Amino acid sequence: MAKSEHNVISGNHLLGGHVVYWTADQSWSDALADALVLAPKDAADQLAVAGTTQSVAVGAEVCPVSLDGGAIRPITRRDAIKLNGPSPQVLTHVPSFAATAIAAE
Amino acid sequence: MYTYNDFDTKAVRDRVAQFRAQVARRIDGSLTEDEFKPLRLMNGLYLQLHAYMLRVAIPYGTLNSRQMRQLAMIGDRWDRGYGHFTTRQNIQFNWPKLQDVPDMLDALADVGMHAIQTSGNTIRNVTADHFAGAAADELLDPRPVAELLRQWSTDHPEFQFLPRKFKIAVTGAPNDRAVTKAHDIGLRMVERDGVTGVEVIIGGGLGRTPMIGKVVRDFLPLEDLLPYVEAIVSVYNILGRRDNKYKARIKITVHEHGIEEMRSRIETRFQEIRPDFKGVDQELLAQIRTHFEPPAWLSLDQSDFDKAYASNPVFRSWCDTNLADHRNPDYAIVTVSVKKHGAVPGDATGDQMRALADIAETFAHDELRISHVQNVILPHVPKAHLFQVWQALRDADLATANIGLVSDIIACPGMDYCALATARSIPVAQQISTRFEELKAEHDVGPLQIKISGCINACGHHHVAHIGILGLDRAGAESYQITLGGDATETAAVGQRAGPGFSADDIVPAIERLVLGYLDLRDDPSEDFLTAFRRLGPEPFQALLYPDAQTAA
Ligand code: HEM
Ligand code: SF4
Repeated sequence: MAKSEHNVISGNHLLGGHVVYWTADQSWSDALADALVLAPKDAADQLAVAGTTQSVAVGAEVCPVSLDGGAIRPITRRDAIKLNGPSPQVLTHVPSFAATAIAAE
Repeated sequence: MYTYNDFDTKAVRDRVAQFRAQVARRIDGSLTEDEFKPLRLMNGLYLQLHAYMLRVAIPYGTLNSRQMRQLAMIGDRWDRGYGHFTTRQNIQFNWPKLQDVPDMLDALADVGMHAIQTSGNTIRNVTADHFAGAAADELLDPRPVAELLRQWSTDHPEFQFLPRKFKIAVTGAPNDRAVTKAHDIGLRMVERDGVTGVEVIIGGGLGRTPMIGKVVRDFLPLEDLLPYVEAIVSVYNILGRRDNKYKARIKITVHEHGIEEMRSRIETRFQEIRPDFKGVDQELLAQIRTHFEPPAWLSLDQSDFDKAYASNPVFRSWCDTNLADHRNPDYAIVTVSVKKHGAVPGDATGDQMRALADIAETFAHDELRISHVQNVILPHVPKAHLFQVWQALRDADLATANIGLVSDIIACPGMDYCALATARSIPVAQQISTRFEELKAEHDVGPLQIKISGCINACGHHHVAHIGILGLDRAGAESYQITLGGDATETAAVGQRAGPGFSADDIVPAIERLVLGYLDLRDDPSEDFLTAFRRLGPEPFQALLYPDAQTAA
């Protein structure tokens, strides 16, 4: 299961499809900063709880993170793309998309 | 072109109404995600990394201007102002919201389009040569056959739960532009003693076990096509493995049972069911054919074209690269590059789609095609209109002269969108095309196909590229594996692995070494990359990719 020292749970909002994070009060937030940080031993249990809230979010999965001076950062590129959206150069034709640099770069 | 009859129209509307109710029940909680997921997939709705994705079928890649405008409208209204044309002649919208999808499907139905059977273990969108009905080398327009197969396979009760997805491609020309040998069934029109029939190929496929299809029947009379295809699918439905998803495609069935046994089982089944086909399918085919009559050809004065061609070098360069021979010598087939240097292969904005629709309507008999190479085709352009077409394309930023060249890259969505990806594909394509534009080398290099997939599923056709790039994950970092010598045409071949993978930083320089190095390896400028590779074998190309390894070995 979870191999990283710190982990969060991400999912996709049922309606919008956008990425949401599982929080300490057992709900979902749009902000990674709100995410509940889990030790490996707790990840599976929380994933099971998160999985019972599929009227709000679907596709729950555990994502390894690092804690950088208290700030939560995704470790894998996949999770960075989930957080920030496609690589900025991929969205040059989308005026509305506020492309941000990928945090894990 | 084919227009829905009343039955089709009602069936599609009913499906939208049904899905609208399912979405409502999912949102109010009466359907769980486990119950809803297969239902949404049946309607082309996937969940990607950071949004839903709606996949819309473009049967045999054919569109009219009204449909193209509607795709633009859908992209503008419910997505982020663009759509993505794929290797399966589909268009994907990358950002729909669940509650909007029924409205999107209704808007598609307004122009006779839908997202049915773009997913699931069914017979998927039947693809065809994108030059169908226009190409100078064509024996017979393959689209009536594709449409017949579409009607027969849509909601066919026996074939809704096949062991795995099932893809059919059809071409009517000896030059295979439809990659028929990499499909579950490939159909190629062939001529024997003045009669047109079909060569039937089965068991091709890409993915984790790439296979080139094998000929199961070298000449099938056209009137036997439907029962024969049904016999193939029916044998596969029984023999195909359901125990292991990775072994479930017909390519594995053919591999495990051998083409001889497959042939004899298919022939037996064919003999059994043939009498049930009493000619209704042939009447239907004849009726479908009337929808694919060629337009009324125009005969126009071409002197403006000749003048522009002689005097305008930018226009000339575009003509030399992006035009193909039409069956009518007064016409040309225009391939519009959706691959401007540095842009995302296959992404077109709403404005670009509308410009294409306007051009098709004004100058090109109102017809458009989507190619598996992720470009848009204007199949019937009178040569007299070519200069105006080019000017209009230039205004829409669509006049890049790079068809068939280094920057005409196929790239799957990769990790920028796809939840299954192990690496990004689009940024690699963007960097390669930008680099070769800087070098101004691609016209010198000549015909070369680069194709990129972001994981082993091979949606980007990398196995059949002259230079294939497969993005993998090696201990958390992207690693790009190169294959050489693949071929997607009638001489289809799976590329050979060149050696160890390259990091995201090293892949573009490696491709540059390889392509520029080929210029020194070729006999003369007429020897293209694939021909040189076939003559020389992999070693000199590996030496270009791995200069340091040479000294060590
Ligand atoms: C949500 C996005 C996608 C998912 C989940 C997906 C999934 C898959 C999977 C699992 C396979 C392997 C099938 C097998 O070997 O049995 C596959 C193959 C393939 N897909 Fe996709 N794909 C996606 C997007 C695309 C796109 C965007 C295209 C077109 C650009 C595409 C075209 C193909 C093609 C051509 C193949 C290989 C041919 C074959 O079926 O053997 N797919 N896809
Ligand atoms: S090849 Fe892999 S990464 Fe690319 S679209 Fe297909 S499943 Fe996604």
